[in-house]
Amino acid sequence: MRVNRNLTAVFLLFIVSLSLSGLLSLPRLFSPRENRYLTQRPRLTLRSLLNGKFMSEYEQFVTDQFPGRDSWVLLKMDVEQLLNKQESNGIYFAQDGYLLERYEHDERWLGQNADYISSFAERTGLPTAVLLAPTAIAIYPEKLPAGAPSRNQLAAWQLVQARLAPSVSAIDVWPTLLEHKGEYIYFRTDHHWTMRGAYYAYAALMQQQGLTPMPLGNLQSTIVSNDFFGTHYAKASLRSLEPDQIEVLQELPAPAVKVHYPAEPVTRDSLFDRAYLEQAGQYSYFLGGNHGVVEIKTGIDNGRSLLLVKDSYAHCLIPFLTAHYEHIHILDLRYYSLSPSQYARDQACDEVLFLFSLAQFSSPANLHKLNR
Amino acid sequence: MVFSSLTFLFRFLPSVLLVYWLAPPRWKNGVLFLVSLLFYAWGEPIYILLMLFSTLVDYTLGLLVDRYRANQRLARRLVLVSVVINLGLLGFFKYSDWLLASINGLFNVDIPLLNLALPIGISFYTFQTMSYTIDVYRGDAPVQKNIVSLGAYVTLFPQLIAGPIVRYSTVAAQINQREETIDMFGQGAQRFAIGLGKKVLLANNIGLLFDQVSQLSQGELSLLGAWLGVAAFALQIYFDFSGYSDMAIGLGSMFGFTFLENFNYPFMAQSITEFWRRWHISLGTWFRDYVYIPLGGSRRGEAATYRNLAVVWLLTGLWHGASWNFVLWGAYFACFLMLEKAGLLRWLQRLPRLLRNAYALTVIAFSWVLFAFEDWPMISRHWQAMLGGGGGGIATPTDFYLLANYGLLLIILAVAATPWPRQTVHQLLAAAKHPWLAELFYPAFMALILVLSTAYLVDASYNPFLYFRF
Repeated sequence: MRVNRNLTAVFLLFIVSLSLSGLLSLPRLFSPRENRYLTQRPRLTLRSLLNGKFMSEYEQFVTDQFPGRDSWVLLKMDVEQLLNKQESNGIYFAQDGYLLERYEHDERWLGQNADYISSFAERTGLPTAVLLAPTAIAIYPEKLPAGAPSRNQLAAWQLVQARLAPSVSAIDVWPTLLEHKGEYIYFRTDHHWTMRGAYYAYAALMQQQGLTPMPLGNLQSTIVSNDFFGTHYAKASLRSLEPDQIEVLQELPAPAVKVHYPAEPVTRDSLFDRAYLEQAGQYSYFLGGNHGVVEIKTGIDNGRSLLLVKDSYAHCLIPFLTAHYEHIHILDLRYYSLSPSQYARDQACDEVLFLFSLAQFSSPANLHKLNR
Repeated sequence: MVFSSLTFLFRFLPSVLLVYWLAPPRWKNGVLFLVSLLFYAWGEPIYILLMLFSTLVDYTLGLLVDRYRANQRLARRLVLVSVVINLGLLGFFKYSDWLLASINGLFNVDIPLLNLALPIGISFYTFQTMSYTIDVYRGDAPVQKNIVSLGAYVTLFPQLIAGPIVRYSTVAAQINQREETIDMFGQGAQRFAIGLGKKVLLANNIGLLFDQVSQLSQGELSLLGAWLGVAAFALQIYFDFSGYSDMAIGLGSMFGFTFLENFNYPFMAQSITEFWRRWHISLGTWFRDYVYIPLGGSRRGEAATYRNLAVVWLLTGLWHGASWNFVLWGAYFACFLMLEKAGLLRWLQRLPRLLRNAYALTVIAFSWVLFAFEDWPMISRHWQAMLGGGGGGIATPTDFYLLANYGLLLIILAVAATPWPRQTVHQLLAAAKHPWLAELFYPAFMALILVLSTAYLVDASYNPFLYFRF
């Protein structure tokens, strides 16, 4: 029958053409849309074959290198929109072009992480502060699709506050962020706050420690990028989304700094790395992305030395701190595995600041390494 | 390897089709045997030995049974050996930890568990090899003297990991001699694509709804939410499982096999008895032919009939997973099947069709809760919420959010679970009197499903294999 001939032809054409174009095209190294390195063809060894590692990597390789990968994903998102889906991979399509990530609350980790910090503060005896940044969904709940479930971050913050030892000061950034929510303080397509959001948090940090922050009026605003698509966009790539801008707030002329990356090892004289603006992960413009250790020497001559234990929310806040400390020692426990208290002693740090997003703080976040 | 993966669709399948077609007819079973082993080894490199062992055992026993057919006692013993070895394998790998844990719990002891990974598809292939020897003994199937041909039957990749349970007697003739035609290939391709779409586009997506509902806490679960969850689960498992069966039947057809149907619009059933004649048909008939009828079926008086029903359904439940909730699930159906046998069915006949359908769907809906949740607190919590006793009352804002997100999909799935769309399309195309309309429509529809399924597979964040416990 002719219909069966047509069915046969269409089916074979479909699987053969996509197989061949997949086999014949060169693997891509990096996906700008997803901002990640794509899986390459795995090496075949007897061991990886027997334990199944080869197979799972090969499947990932085929998926990552599928011909026209981005167009297929955009097609899927089109269908999802037709079906009236209001989320993708845990990211809500919120009003005004915001992509808001669902916050998953884990009381166990919130409490556990607070305890790690308390006992670290006790053991080192250093003055310790904790600043936990709410994520955008907590600041803009009214932009969410009606009824969209997300746990209460303010309750999470209150839980942490109550759990921290009294000697640790909990820096409350909620009032100031809510007060300034009309400004561009969170990226719409990324999971970070903007440098402006970080400024208000910094100001709160200073005020709550009895210090005076640099006034916003003294800082020069520069837009360094108009085409930033962040991590949320990678998980929820709608065609209709506008890119974010990246704003930098800075005293001009920029004060001199030495930024040392011991692992590479290299020393730069800027807190910003323009090279990243040409790439997909533009947030790495701040401090050059994630590093286990970064050591900053500023031109301030006051002898103060800060140990900053952080996630990437800190990257756009650190430039403001350089006006107050001679040394800033930055540890990212995801990439640093030695003893943080030993490090603090070796570097003669006299203050400690923990700076995380609440989303990160509700997860393991590697804070157990504080006990080392 | 699973069918719903890019590796299968765009690496494995085209290569296999090519090799199979190039191979001369007498090598075709060998090719199937070999590629099926590769297919299995892709996910289970070590356990492949287990499957080969089971094949070898029943190949040998089949030959012996055939040879000593005249000696009834010996032949029966040989069958018994097959049953013991196959059930032994199944019991050891699938049920030993469950038994140990149950003993630990019951007697408050602490026997260490074995923590064996369950070999994929073991529940399917042990049932097939066992039934082969039994069929040979009963004279229902001819003996297979070629081990490659028997191996090709047991390992045949289209039906290897998620059924249907293809009995040797139904494919015996095709194993030895079959014809691959364009007609069978075209129909098979279409059937495969429909199955793929059911799995990737329908089941996976409604599965997300069930996941979201099952993560709600006691206080958040409402009447509406609980029913949304149960509807999502029922539709997910139906489209997932029947999708796999469609893909198996379609692939079989591409290689010249005709497998029996495994699903027949189960949610159209008007009683539980009828549901089980429409759901996972190959499993139901397997238990009927190899357990229920040998036990005497319904011919040995009322008491024996009920006992036989109870045995069959406890075993059916347990077949679905080594956990008490599956036993409960089987017992639940046994109760309703007994009630229906005892007179409920006759009484139901007096009701209008719609009410009979509603009765069956309600009983089925409550049963899925037993299937979906492993521990009793979760089960009773969900049942309570389905009856209006959930902490979230009648409905919560989250329910309306979920309804906005999944409402359209739910409607599509509900309609797709009936025979109506298929009938309507057939009738329209037949009435159109232009044969080219059908010649265009079916290939275009298939292409659409293939394109959309590929898009969803490329961005697959959720593509579970639900039968890892079977």
